[in-house]
Amino acid sequence: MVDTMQTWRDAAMATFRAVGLPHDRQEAWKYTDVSAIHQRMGADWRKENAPAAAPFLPEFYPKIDGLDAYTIIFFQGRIHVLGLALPAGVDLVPWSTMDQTTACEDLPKVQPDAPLFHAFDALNAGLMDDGVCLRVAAGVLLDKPLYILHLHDDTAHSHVRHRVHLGESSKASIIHHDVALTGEHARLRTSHYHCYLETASTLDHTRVQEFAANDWHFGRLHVEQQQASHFDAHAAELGGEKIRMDICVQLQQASAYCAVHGLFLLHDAQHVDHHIHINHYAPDCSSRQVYRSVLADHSHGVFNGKVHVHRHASGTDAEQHSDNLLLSKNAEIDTKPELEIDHDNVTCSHGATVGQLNADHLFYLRSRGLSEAMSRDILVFAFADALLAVLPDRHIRRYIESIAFNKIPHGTDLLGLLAK
Amino acid sequence: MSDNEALQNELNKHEYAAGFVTDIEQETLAPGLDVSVIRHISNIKREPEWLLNWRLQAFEHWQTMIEPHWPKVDYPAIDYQAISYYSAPKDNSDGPKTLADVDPELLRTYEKLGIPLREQEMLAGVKEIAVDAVFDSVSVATTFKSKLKKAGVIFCPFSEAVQEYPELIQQYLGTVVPASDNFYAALNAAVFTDGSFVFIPKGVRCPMELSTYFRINAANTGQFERTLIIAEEGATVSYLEGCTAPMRDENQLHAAVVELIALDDAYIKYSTVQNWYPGDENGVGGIYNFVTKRGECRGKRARISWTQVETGSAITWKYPSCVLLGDESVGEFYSVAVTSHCQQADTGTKMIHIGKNTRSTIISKGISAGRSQQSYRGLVRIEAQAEGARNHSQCDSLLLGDRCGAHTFPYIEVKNPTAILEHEASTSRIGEDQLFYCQQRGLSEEDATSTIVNGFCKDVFDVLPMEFAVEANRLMELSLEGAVG
Repeated sequence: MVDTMQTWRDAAMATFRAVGLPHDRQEAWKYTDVSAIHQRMGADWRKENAPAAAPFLPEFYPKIDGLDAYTIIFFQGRIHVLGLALPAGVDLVPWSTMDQTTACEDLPKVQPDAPLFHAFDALNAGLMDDGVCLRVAAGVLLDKPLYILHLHDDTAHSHVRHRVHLGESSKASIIHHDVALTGEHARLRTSHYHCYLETASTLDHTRVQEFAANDWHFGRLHVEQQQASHFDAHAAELGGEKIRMDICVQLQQASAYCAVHGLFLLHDAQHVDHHIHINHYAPDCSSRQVYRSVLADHSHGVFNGKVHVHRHASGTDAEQHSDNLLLSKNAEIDTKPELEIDHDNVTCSHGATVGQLNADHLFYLRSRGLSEAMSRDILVFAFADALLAVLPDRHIRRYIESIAFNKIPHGTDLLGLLAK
Repeated sequence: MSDNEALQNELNKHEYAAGFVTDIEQETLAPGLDVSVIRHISNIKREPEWLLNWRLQAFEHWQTMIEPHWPKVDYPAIDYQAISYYSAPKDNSDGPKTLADVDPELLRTYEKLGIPLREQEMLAGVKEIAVDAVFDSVSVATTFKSKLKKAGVIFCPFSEAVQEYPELIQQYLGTVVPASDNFYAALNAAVFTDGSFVFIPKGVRCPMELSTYFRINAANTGQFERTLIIAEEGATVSYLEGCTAPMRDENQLHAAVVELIALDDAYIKYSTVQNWYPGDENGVGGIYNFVTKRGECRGKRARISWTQVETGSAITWKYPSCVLLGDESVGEFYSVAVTSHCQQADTGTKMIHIGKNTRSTIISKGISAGRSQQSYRGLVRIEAQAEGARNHSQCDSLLLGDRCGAHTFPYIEVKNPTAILEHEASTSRIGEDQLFYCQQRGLSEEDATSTIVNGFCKDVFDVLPMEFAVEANRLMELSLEGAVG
């Protein structure tokens, strides 16, 4: 019998080899250099992980206080906890428990023609450890968020590939949380989401990233939207050494809406690069991109947001914002909000700012008796918090805030102040 | 008839007034490019050895380079061996000494184009402008040379400057745009034929506007001119550039290089009205305008200002840039670009902040109509040592018709935390409410559109030199005649 899954993986690896590693002469990789990957990740980063050993789940991992959600846990890319009492009409199956033929049919395809495709997406497919296929039937509203916790340690690389399919008028909220438990050895992490939103469905996708300081991550979020569907993405980039996210949204039918939010809180030599490509194919769709970055030490932020309005997309309404705060002499931001417009009946705008803290705001706080350092921290926090305020779940917001507070010198004092 | 057809028909009526051919005997090199052609050009120009070597090195480097494909423009491959690299009106090898030596046919050409070459014919009350007229590969006349000389200003054809002021040329040529800078700059360095040279000595405010008028006349030729402007400490100059070409079915290549150098407290204002033949309504013919323009503010408080109105060329590839080396230096870019029919433009600017407390402003207004494609591609880079840099960019696009495209690619790279910069951009068509408002005040639809378009471009037109503002307005009206949705 032919091992179908192996054939599928081999095809993906063939694509990976054919496409080749991205390099800085490619426009989309101008600011993100991956040439050191062999040196950083060791010799075996292109090899498949050994089959799963006996199920093992670390005893301690961070928990989000108060979060009421359907929880599934992945450790090193492999699913460990399932057995949820999901509402009727919600179907959640890991690839590892499906028969191979079905899995190969349902797994998100490797699409070399898709915008922002690159070799690491093919690698993700080829080396995939596991992932889930989530289907929500028409008209079903998932009452609680689906919390997918990905735990990693530094013993292996990990690759997850998920698929989300929302039926007509259904609704779901997904929280993707990456946590590295140990981080002595540099590891490669890749992830892929393929989301399909049928007419009038709504999806919230929140990603909280806390990789280890040596980890590299290449992620892809591919979204296809049908009529009047609604997609919201939130990302909080907190950890990792080199992080690249490619977010591609295809607004295929009229009146669809998408919003992509991103917050970078970076320090040391962290490098985070988000490339976003939103295609407006149909009339009366709206899209928003809202990004904020706070860059300390030697960190490097990259934002490349593109809106492409195709010929028949009249009535398009698109906005892009990229606001950046540089806190150190050695930090760098490269931002490029692109517009490509082939129709005249559109309202498109973008804005980008780079700057420091406002002197008037600082003065105001100091005149109220706060120290300069404290005043700065409050303003930095307020700058970042504008993006946390729009998160769909307040427990996630509190969780990220507490991490943000720990990242700034007077954070815990601030937390005390706010708690009062 | 739909609005779009009406628009297209109106646009078709628009005649390219500068599209005639001057019937004059010309000496043209056979098409092709090799070392012998470069030696030949250098020989005609009686250039010193070092300049020939510089050309040959550029040519050698050019052969190793590949044509840039990253711009958002689409055109068939150019056969660089099918172009003639030198064409000049006959008996001009020495250059005319006085206006009396200039072929009357040439004078009539410039008269027809509205370019004043006879100094005495300047109307009383009209501000004087010194003109350098470049016809295909050579400069045919330069006016007001003696008056400028009195003020210490050097304004002459490039080939003349090579003979008369070789030390200045050797000191500055290629220091802003090196011969190996990019594909077209390297080609230009190898085969450039003429252009203008301007030198404003220390403390001099140039007594009149300087202007170069470029005209392509001969068929199958390319124009490769090189302009070099140097403003010493405290000098000020305003320089205008205009260009036209005959209507022809084949595409012609124009690959120019402009280098500006501003020392302490100097101010160079470089204005362009670019009206090369844009091709017909089906995109047949027209000029390929691949130009490298760059200015360096080398001194403290130096200021370079690029102002341009772009209506012509089948394909435009140009990014006038400022390198802000001196502390407190200032770079400015004001641009209105109009594309219609099948024109394609990929244009914008680069502001490189290196000195402390440098400032730059970018105002770019793009109007695309018909089936044209227009892109703004800009770079603002704040280097790590550029303390206190400030940039404001605004690029707006106006779309007229549903078959055109307007694209924006702004690169922002910041390596210094004290920088403050803002970038804004918007893309839209003329609002129906705006049109309605104007019309209910009694304006015709066409006048209303023209009023709104003018208002859209006002920020740029306001900073144009007087002489150009009128021409720019007229050109805009012509280019967009009847472009009412």
